[in-house]
Amino acid sequence: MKIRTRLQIIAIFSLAIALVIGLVLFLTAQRVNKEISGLKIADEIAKGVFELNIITYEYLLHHEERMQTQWQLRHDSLTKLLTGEEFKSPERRLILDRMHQNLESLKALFSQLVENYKRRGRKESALSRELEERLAGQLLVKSQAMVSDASQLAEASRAEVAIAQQRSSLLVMVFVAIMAAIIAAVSFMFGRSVVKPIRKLHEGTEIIGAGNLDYRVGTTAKDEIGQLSRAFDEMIGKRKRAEEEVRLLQTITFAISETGDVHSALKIVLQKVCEATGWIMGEAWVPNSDGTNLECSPAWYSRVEGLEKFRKESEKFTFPLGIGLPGRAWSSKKPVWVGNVTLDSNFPRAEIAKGVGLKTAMAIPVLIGDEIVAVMDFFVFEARKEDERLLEIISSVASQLGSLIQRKRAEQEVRVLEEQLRQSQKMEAIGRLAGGIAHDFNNLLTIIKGYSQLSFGELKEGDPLRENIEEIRKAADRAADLTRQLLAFSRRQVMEVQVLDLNTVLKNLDKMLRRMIGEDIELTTLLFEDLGRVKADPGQIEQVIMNLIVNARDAMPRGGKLTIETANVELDKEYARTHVAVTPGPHVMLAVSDTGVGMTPEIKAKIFEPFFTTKEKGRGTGLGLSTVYGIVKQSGGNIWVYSEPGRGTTFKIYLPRVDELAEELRVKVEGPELPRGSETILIVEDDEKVRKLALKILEKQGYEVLEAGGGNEALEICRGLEKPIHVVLADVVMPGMDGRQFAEKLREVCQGFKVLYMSGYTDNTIAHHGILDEGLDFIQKPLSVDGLVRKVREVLDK
Amino acid sequence: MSGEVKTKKLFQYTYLLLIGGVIALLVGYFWLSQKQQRPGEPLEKVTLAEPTQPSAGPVYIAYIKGYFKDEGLDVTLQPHTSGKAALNAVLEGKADLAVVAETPIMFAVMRGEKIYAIATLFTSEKNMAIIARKDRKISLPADLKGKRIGVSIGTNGEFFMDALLVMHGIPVKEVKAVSLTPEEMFDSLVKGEVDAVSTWHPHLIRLQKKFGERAITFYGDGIYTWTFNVAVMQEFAHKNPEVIQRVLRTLIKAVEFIRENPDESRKIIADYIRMDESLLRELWGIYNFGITLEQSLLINLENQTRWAIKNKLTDKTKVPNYLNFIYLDGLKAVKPEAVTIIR
Repeated sequence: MKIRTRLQIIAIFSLAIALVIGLVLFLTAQRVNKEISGLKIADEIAKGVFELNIITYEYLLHHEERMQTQWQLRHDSLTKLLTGEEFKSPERRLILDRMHQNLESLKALFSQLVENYKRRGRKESALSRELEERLAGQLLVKSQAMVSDASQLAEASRAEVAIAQQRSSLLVMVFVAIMAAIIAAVSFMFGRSVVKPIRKLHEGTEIIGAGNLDYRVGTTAKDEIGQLSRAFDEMIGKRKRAEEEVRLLQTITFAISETGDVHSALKIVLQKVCEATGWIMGEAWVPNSDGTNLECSPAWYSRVEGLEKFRKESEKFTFPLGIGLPGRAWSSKKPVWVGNVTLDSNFPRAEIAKGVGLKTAMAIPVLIGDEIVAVMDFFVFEARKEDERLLEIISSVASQLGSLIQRKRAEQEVRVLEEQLRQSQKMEAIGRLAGGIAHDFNNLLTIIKGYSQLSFGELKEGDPLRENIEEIRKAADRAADLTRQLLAFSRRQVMEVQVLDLNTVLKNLDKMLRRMIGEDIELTTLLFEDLGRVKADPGQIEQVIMNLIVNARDAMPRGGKLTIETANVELDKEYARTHVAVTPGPHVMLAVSDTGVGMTPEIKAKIFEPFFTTKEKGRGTGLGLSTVYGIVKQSGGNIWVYSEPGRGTTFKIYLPRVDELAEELRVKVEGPELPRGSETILIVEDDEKVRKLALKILEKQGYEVLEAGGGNEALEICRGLEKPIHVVLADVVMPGMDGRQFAEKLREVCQGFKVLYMSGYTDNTIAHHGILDEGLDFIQKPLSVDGLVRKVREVLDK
Repeated sequence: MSGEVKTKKLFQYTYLLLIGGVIALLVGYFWLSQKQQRPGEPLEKVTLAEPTQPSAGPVYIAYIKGYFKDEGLDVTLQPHTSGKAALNAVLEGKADLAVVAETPIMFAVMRGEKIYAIATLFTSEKNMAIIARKDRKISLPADLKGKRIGVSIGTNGEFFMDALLVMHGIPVKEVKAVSLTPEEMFDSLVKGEVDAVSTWHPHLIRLQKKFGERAITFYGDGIYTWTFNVAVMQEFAHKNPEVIQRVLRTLIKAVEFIRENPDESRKIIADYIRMDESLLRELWGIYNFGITLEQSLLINLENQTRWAIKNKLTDKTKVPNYLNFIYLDGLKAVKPEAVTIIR
């Protein structure tokens, strides 16, 4: 019974007792009051008898009417008193009856007295006198008897009062005793039902507080304390389960944080969950590469032997969305419980499971946000009812695993980005170095090439030196080629940018490419219809394609497949986030894939570095891919390589897509004769040798040539000159004043001249990111005789 | 579960019932106690004729202290020189109540007036005496034989004289009764026209002061108790039993005040009737104030009646039944224990 109910019963019981006692006390008081009024009546009777005597006495004196009246009145009032209802007990009624008789006798006697007086009138006689005396005496006797009876009545009432008082005292004592008993009972009850259980509960809290979560108070009482105890036990039970869960999670988290990849993490989770929950077997399913099916992960765990068959068979399965246990968990993204897999219609492995005796299964998806990473399946031999609690625990483990995988992925991304950044910084540094070398190289090559050409021209046919000079010139050409490639890599080449359709470029190159790769290699071109345009130097792009093709060819010494593919792609923010230096937006992709030997990651990391080559000595310059890299980067694009040893290599180039229409490819037509002229040309070049060479070449073609070693000297010359200067051939990079500044200063002194800039490499003076400022004329060092003469003529003729 | 709810409900109802019972008891008690006080009723107009004597003290106290108003009475005090005059005012319908000694009541009844004594408010056994000059050789009551005694014929003064003489074995015929008004008593005795006078205070005390040791005073020693009573016409009592009760209640309250505050009461009374307060203080000890209806009143009236018949002060020869001239119901309702008339 509840304590509250018990207390209420006690309260009502106490009230009832108080009521009974009150009632009895009230009745006793009534009784006492009645007896007191009885006493009063007895007194009143005695008084009445006394008063009758007084009046009798008066009557005997005066014999008047008033006394008679008063006697009668008093007699009547006494009679009324005697017939009153106050006295009910038989003894008292007996006394009353006697008194009544006496009163009537008194009345009779008094009447005789009155009669006697009336008879005798005022004359007294001895006889009447005697009668009067006798009557008076008799009246006294009767009165005496009545007074005595009245005192008896009074005594009886007093005795009753005493009894009633005794009774009420006894009752009060009984009440006190009952109340004492109730108080004792209540305190006992409190001791048993409240204090003791609370003490037990308190002990429990101390034991549990000390860490023993297995302790249970275990009260069976149905009262409030019992409820409290049970609630307490339940709370501790929940607490224990929660702690177990936390411990399991901690163990798993710790274990999987040590692992590198998803599969080993999954394996640990499967094992830990089976160990902690007693389930027999765990397996995992992961999405395949295109995300259409779940395929068997190498991770699995079994606590018993004999399930290998099930495992082997399972490996052959894949599950699309909604199919099988993993498929269902995948589609619902919630845990799935199957009480008996052998009876389940959507469990394709039912037969195998039946063979090994597996019955109940559950599948828990591992998610990152909405993306499925894996589905874990667990099995037991016996049929079990769905255990929501267990599903919850394993789901939290799965969610932990999901978070961990997500974290690992993020770490991986950061690592890749760092690597990309490091790589690009390295390339940048190498590029700058290469560019610096190329500048000086170009000046040297200009001299070598120029003088060998001049010398060659001056030697007669058949002169044996001509052959020597020809070799010098060829070597110089090769050196110039290398330098140009270096410049390309370092993105210092001046680009002649045009809006291009890569498909057109590829079509134009097709024949040549097929010739280059030979017969053992099958070339496939997959050209995207409606391919977008890009802005690039067509010559450079051709060079990129050819370099990649050569590379692919060399990777397939025993033949193979070479695929060139173009496509419109959209690089999104996500892609940009995970790839260094990518601006999100529409791009055109050019991919070159081979089925060659492939690369190790170590090689992959270095392939774009200049002079890095895997080819045997003499076969490669180590500048091919560097050039490709430089050109793509200078064109605002990106290049990525995907390769695995033995699986071939794919290069993917992404160039920003433009909306403009493709321009016609410009083809220069050059005449066989070097053009001549007589105009005045001012050469401004700090390198004296280059300056002298240029002077010689141009004078030979008929031009009047002036020279200056620097900007200031050139200005001096111009100030003193009276005839006009037609062309200023200015080195871009000079100490003190660059070519551009010089040209501007010169315009202050004289007008009407054109400027032809020359340089070994570009910088921001005349070009931005390799693209020449509008309207500028430029010639790339090293200068060749042909190149210089034709360019000067072209500028003069503009 | 439902059983539990039921038990709970039962407990709640029991509690409510118990609490309700207690509240009902309290409310009932207060309602009943409130019911006894009924203020705000219009005041009842009553005229009370009084004898301008200290013996009517409770009337003055009640008037001055406002006790009449407390009982819902608007009382007008009508002063008279004696109780007899006051009673006459009632008989003539000029007043509703009168404070009067028992003797005028007796004579009125003998004349056949329909009046009631509703209560006694004053008694004294020493308010009346015979004072005699010692130089007339009077030192014992027996010495009064053959002497000239001044007396107001037909008053209780004569009754007292007769009673005293009878008590000391002197036939009334053996003294010379000289009829004097109360006011003449002083001068007559001083001048020596009489040897003694049967008179009452304050004439008595004035004479006692005047003569000092040269005079002797004979008190009645219980043969006569002077009473002052409140009298009304029977018709008035029957029509206004409530007013009678209120008057009696007021007087009871006034008597209580006198008992508790004698000094203040003396001052009020002396001020009201313009009497020397010191004189009143001297007499105070012989005054008994109390609202009663005692058997002694009956006996007193009858004794005086017999005396009046014997002395031919009335033409009636039979003692009337004075029970018919005493109104018991009023005092019985207000203070029953104060009624000792046997009934």
